[in-house]
Amino acid sequence: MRAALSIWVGHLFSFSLLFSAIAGAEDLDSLLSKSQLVFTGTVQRVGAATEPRFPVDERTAVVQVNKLHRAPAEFQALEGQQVTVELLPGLLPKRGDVAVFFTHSWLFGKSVAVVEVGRLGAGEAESLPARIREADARALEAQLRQRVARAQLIVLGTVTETRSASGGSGTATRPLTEHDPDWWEATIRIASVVKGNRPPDLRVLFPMSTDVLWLKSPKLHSGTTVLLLLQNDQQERGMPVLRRPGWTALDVLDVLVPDQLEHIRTLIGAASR
Amino acid sequence: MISRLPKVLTLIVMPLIIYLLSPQVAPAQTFQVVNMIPNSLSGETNCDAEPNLAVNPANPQQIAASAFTPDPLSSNSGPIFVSTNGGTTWTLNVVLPGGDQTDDVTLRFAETSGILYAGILRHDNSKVSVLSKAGLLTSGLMNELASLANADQPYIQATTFSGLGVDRVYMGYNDLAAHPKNATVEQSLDAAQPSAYVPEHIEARTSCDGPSIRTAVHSPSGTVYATFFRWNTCKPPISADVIVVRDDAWGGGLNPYSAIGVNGVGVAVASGISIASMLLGSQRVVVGSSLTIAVDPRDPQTLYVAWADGTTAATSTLHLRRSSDGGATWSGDLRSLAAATNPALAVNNQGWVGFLYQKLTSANGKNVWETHLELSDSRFAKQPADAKLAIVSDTNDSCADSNPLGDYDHLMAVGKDFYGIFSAYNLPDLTAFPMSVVYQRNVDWNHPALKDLAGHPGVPFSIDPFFFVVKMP
Repeated sequence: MRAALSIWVGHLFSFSLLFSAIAGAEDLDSLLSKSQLVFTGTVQRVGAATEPRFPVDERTAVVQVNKLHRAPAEFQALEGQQVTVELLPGLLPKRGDVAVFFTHSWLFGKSVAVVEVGRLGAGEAESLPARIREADARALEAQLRQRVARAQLIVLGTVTETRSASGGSGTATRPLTEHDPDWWEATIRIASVVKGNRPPDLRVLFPMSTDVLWLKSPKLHSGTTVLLLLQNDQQERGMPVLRRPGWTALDVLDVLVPDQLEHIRTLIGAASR
Repeated sequence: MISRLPKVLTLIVMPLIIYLLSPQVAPAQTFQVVNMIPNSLSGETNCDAEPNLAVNPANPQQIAASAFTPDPLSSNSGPIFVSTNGGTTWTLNVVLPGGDQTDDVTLRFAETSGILYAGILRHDNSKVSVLSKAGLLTSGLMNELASLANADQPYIQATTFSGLGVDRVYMGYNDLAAHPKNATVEQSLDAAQPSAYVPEHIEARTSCDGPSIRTAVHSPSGTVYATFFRWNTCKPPISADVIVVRDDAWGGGLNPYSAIGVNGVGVAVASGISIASMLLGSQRVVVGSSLTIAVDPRDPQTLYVAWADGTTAATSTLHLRRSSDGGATWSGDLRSLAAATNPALAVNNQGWVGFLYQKLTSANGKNVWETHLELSDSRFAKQPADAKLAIVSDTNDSCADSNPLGDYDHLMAVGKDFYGIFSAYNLPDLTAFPMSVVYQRNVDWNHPALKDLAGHPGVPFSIDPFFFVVKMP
């Protein structure tokens, strides 16, 4: 029974290669949102791993990376190397099969092990780079659209002054923590309001802290002109007791260069239609 | 009789004095120091600071560790380091929920169950989570057992209560919403049950407390200690007491953590100390972050506390003290070290005490961080053996964060052996690691350089975590 099942699954895999079906019936955008390492590979061994200490069962396979389609720069040397893949359940390949593997992080030792989230037939590989670029652009656009939607006020303006607004860390009413945002306040001279109502004056709070929690949050600098996607009394970053009422732009996509103005206007227009 | 006294002095007293004053000669201990960055990540340049370590007491071949290390593939989950061969080689396993890296993470195995517990500050929602996982190398995220808003600095301990066969977890943390009286232990007497987690506010007075709360558990007896800085003022300049509280029933009595001190408010190990945020070289030392506690596994009444105080680099001092009566009274300074931070303590099953710390010194006009492990079999009654594990440049090349070493390192004992972890500048130079070192990542020892996965030199130097084990005879 088990052997018959394996043969059936093997046929299923061949079938999927033949018709270049996407495993799991998900579209490419969805697959890419969950997979950071995408490659064309040849299955070397099933029920095996690249390192003796890696867990092995019938769903692990050693796969030769023939061509990387998506990988961070420091992993480009994986091309030509073998990786361990924890395969999707019910979609077991056989030795010699070639496919495009969509995977995410698992183990990083002397070699790399990844978890498969989807698979394409090898015939899809040629068109994949362009499709990945397009999908990545769509994903970034979707993130930006989300930030625009969350923003209650979007302005193009110049930072005229910055000053500390923290009031000191560790007081009778505020606890001390290494993750204190160290709030600073930027005064903005508004050139244009893109979304929301123009406030009489605009002061934007930003975390000056370089603590790991706030390191990536944008810092505003006097004299710079920026496009600000602002939330009032934000509820998404930092411990609640450390938040401050007021306007903030805490995501890396919340502070943009002025060149993005027309693009943001287009996104707002599309959302209102 | 009187005429014979000088001879007695010569034969008995003088050797004793010489013994007490002489540096302790270490017996045949063997040291192993390992740069933990795996070979497949040879090109990484992260600031892998603030490391922590957990050795499985039931199987010391299994070790987990953490640092501010991001997922190499940015999958929106964070990694831990794992070893299944006693720390000789290391692998990253991406198991932590809440973002590519955490904002704080500590780890501990329970005593016999083999379950790994973690306390993390998630990056995505800034909540502290208590997590668990069985299986060091298996895929999948750790399970969330408890979630706390307005919490910071989770520092976890775990053990197994053999009487009921359940794990018990004690996580010191800074309860920001409880300010003042923010020193808190999130604990569970049945760690597998999410509903069993409760916060115990261990500050009995209406005082503001420092952010670091550390616990030590003596498993057979159910004695649980916690230490924290009790501030005498709520804002800088800060005068503080180093407080130890104790519970004799696994933290589960009617008035938990009130076993010592007048009205159960705990006992001051030191009083009226001054603490402040400061720069030690390029390292930003957070106010009151340097604090550690350890209990002797052979005797729940014997415990050690170390802390750093001072308000400037010139006045910064690390202290070590001991109690032999369950925290009721304390020794004077057993050790007093200038310009040192990140203390960690452990006591092995032979009574040896290990004291790990990082000390800023100067060499050829440049700042240098030395990582020391002192070992004493005399309860620090005499000069301990001192092993320098690392002597590296004080630089934060690729660390945008101004805290390249982090707010803590860690030391623990399993049986007779000591296991530890620290972060340090990763320039591959054998003279920088006097007890020897092994790198897993690609390096060129002859022309000190880091090489990427393809073997190309030129990878910028950064901060890496270093594991060490001391095998005691």
